[in-house]
Amino acid sequence: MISKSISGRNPEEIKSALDKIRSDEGFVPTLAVVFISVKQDREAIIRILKAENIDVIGATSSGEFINDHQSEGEIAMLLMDIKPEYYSILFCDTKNKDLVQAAKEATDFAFSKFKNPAFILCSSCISISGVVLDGQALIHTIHKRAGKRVPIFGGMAGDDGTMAGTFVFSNNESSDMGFVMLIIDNHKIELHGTAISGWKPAGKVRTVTKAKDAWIYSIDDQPALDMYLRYLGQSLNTGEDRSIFREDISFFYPFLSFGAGEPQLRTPLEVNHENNSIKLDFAIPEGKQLQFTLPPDFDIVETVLESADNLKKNQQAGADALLIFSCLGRRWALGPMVEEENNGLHKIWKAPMAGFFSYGEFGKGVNSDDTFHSTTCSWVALKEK
Amino acid sequence: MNQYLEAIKKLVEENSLLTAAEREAFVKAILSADKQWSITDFKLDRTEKVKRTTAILLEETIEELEQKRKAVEETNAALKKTLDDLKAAQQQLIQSEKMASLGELTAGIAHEIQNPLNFVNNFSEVSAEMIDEVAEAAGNSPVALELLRDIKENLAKINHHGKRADAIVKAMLQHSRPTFGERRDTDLNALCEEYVRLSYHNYRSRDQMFQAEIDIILDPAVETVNLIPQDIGRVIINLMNNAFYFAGNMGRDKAGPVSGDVNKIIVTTRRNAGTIEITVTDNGTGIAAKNISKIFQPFFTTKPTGQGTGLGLSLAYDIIKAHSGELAVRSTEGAGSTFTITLPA
Repeated sequence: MISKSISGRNPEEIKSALDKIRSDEGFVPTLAVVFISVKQDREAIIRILKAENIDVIGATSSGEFINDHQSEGEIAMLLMDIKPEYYSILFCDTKNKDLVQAAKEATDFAFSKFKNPAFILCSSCISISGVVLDGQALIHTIHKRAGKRVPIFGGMAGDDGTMAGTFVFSNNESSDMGFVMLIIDNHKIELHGTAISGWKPAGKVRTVTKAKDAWIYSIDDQPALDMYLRYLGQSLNTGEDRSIFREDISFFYPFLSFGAGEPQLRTPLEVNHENNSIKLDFAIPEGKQLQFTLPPDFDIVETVLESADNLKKNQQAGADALLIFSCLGRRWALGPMVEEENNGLHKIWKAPMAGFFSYGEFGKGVNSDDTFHSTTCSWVALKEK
Repeated sequence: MNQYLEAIKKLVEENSLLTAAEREAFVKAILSADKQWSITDFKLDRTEKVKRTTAILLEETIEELEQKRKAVEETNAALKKTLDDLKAAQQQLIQSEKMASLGELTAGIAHEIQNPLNFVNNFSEVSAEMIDEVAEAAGNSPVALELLRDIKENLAKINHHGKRADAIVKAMLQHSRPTFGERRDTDLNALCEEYVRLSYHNYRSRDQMFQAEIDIILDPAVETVNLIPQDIGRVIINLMNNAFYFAGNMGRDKAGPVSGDVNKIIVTTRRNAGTIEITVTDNGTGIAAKNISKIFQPFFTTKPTGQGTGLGLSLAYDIIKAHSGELAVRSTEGAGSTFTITLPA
């Protein structure tokens, strides 16, 4: 399998890049994995790809990148000449459908196509109306149906950090509430990858004493927002834009939530000064425990790369293509080092790479079976057998 | 891009002395330096930010832990106190149980002894009377009269000691018999004063040489207390008798004070929150530590045979318990003792 990654500031640049690789290198892709800013014309991109008979699976991004190039507000894609019989694309709009039911049907569909399917999964995160897709339920359902060992990698769509509406799409469909799956025949294409966070718990374990849905009103019987800001030594003016809260504070300091499985990171997205509450990306119910966290040390980049290198050596794996789903929080917390992380993975696997900054990641953790994350760098290398 | 590096880059790009390859190499190096610069800059900035956060988080957590520590300490102290109280209560309970069973045993024995003792006493009296009649009948036989006189003296001794045994048995029976007195609101100060005086006179009637200085310090706030006056009076008499006895055994001159060293008894009353307290303090021989736990047991006495039944304090203990109160003792050997009665107000 041959792959190429391209990027562009607009659909025209993408068209030119496509034409160039086709004419210069004779490369005829069959599939494109597209990561695109919400500011861009998604329809135009889909039209271009459809005109070239290229299947599309895509998600909007909060910054996108390919080999040695990172951008914001642009378009990045990984093109592959994967044989059509090795993959299938399934799009599920969950606006009027139960997510769990849709996930069950999608998994059943995958098994009807291939005996051993693997998944590249992109889902929406927040809809235009503000509804957050339950990534945990989506993954839990697929795993329950398909087993824990089935490979799943991917990310939740972004929207340039605005939290105003994220989208996933395929050749013919698009939605701000749903998911799109690239179902791969795992007999023909092998997948290797992992997800690493690096955020560290800090301070004592506390209890959510009042919460409703994704809003937390009190922690250890203290007003949630006051406590969050006070303990982190932060301040926030009432008039400040909520994106400042996310970029300056909450993406740096998500909560570690303790539930039934592995602890999960949960990121505050909004605040309400009137009732001193915090809205998280995913709910931590009343009575559950949480802990403050501190962002990763600077050596997390080396840790991620070492882990990839070890995996490559231990499993004697190779790659024809590389996809990276990196949490937007990493972009704020690691600054320019996040490029080192993404490009470092590209250099290790020596394969064309594309990725985007996401609002949630799918991928097997290094030391756990959990597959839905926040703050991780989740990457997957694809190799035709 | 860093402004200084940008200026250098511009100079390099405009420098016609360099070849294109050299320019490209320089620009690449400058771009690389700029990247490293921005990473270092970011690291410094983030380190400062996270350092501040970590310090505050640590400070807040330490403060919180300190509060928790204090709370745990307070809880520990409360628990320790509860444990001590529990242990004391347990000790008291054991003591009470012991006393109760001893009391029952004592009453049982006393009841069994009482009847044969009645026979001893009654028949010794009757026999004495009969000897008088036999003496009249015997006429003037000196031998017979001598023998009869001896028998009568023997009977008198039997009767004397039988009466003594009877007194002991009666005292023992008081442990088990229900009191016939009724509770009534009583002026406790007046009661104390009356029984203290009474006990002193009684004691003096038995030992006319004995003298003591008695201080009665009464708290007017005590007022009336609901109790059985005869029973509490009995307790006061028993405590006073003990105090007189042990004060009088210090080897002091019983006839009077010598160099200010006198037999001294202090009786006090006091109203506390929810309780009334009566104390009887003497400057007598005190109680040996090994005997402290035994003094309320029936028949325990350190007095010589014939001078104490060992039932006075035991009876006092029972009476106070029956009033839902406590009888406690503090004593220093060689310096005296204080008995404290605590009654519900």
